[in-house]
Amino acid sequence: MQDFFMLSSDPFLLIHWLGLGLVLIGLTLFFTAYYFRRQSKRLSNALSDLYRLNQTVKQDALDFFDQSWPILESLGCLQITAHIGWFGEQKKVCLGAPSLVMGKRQLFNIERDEMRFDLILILNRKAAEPDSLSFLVIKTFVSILEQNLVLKQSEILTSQKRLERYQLFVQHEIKNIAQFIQLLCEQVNRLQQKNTNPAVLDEHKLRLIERLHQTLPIMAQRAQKTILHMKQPLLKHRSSTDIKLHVLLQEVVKMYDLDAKIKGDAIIYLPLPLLEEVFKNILGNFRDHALTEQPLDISVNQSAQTVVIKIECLQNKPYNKMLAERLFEPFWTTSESGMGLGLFLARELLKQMNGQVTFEQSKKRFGFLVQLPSKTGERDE
Amino acid sequence: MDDNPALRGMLAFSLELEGYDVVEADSKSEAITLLQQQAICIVVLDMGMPPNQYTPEEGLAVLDWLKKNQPDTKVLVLTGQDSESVSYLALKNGAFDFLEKPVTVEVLLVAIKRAGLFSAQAVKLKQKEGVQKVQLEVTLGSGVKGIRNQAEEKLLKQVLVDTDFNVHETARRLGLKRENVYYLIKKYSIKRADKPESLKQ
Repeated sequence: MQDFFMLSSDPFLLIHWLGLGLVLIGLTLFFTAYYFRRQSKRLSNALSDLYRLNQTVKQDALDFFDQSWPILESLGCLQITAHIGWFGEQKKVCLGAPSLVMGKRQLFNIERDEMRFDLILILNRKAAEPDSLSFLVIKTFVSILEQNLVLKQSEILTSQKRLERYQLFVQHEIKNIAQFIQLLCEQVNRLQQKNTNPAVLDEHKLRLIERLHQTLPIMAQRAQKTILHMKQPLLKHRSSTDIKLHVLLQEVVKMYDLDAKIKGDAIIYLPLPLLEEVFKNILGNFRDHALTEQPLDISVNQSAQTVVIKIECLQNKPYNKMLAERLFEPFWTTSESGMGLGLFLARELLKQMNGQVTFEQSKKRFGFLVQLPSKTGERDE
Repeated sequence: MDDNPALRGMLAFSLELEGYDVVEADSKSEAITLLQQQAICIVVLDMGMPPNQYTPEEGLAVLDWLKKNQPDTKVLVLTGQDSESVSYLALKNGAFDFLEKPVTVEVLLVAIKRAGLFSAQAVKLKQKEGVQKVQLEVTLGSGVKGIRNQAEEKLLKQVLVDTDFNVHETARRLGLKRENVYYLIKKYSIKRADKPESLKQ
């Protein structure tokens, strides 16, 4: 006891303890700062990784989702299950732990037009805290995904507007050309009228030639320009007629020089140009992408309500699973020459005819299943 | 009035052979300049002209200008645009007739003759019997004051245009005092030349 009083009364010892205390406080502050710095660096890295990945995949929502799992996993995401709706195709993806895991569930739903992501994320306790840095990054991941959908939506809208503009241009110019030919034709016929005074006729001829000299080069130039712009066919004639499917399919197969066996037949009552466009777009894929060297098997089966057309072929070896969910996505293509619109248009046109198209794939075969309303039901309406 | 010079030339040629005097314009501003310079009783109008070749904006602007400044001019719309929607807009904006490209010269001539006849008869009605036709666009249900004002304004505008803005003559034709005409001109802010934006620049 005496020693203690001696110690406390010793000013050097007091300074010694004070110094020790200050060192402890300093160390605590240092480690706290280090911890926050490390956390903020981790956050910064995770965010940078997400943005870099998004740039690498060119803001493609599906690719971004597929490749972002390692980043999410590093943040404390244990499992992610996604139900993806992509232009009529459905897909379920499960990443992370293969079975049910303990953790906190977080649900996110993102939807734009025909694109939809229903996400179920299982997060560890730390990542699930709403104020945690990990949760902030996960929310950023969802925002980027949503932004990519918005971008895709606006891309489609812009491209559709551009296509509409092309169509309007072609329609406008073709009608002008038709009007020009109509007038020209009538003026030439007028020159052949027998009861006209020869002097007047000669003057008329001279004036017409002079006028044609001025106008024909302009019209030829415009016609040339119109041909250059004719990218898409005009789908104006939508009146229904009886169509022999076997004949139509044979014509399209011949048009694309495809090796195909067509079995079965049916007569349906639909707009011919639209249906022809549907089969051109579907069969065109087999030509443009050289999907197989095997002949195509096309079968037509008719029931009271529907006509089912199956277009399929043997799978190329080795088995290569196709991205079924992307096949009907507008402006998505693996071909350098294509616009990525064929199957999208086919599906849209079929919708107008109360029909549908689906992609089917097994280890041995793959192809498309087209369903159309049967003849009688439609005509009776 | 058509932005395609080749087609415009052939149309003009076909009409000239039938004895009509034709002037050509390739845009809204050129058309309005010509309409201000000389008396034109029939206009054959294409709805799509630069910068909006594929939509009816330019044609509608010409129709609107004519309705305000030269209501007696008959307009035949000859266009390749969607007939269903454009014909509705054209007639709503005062077009006399609507023809869809391509048409035969015969059909065009019938329409032009009909327009000419209506134009001539309207002039005769005005000169002989003092009958001035006024077309009103009204929405029912909000009383008659707005309709009365619209009729007053349109009638005054038409008579002012007819008299080349001679207030004395306008007052005489309308049976009003000159002070009343001045009052109405001020009330409806009627100006002598209602030039379009493109011409003001």
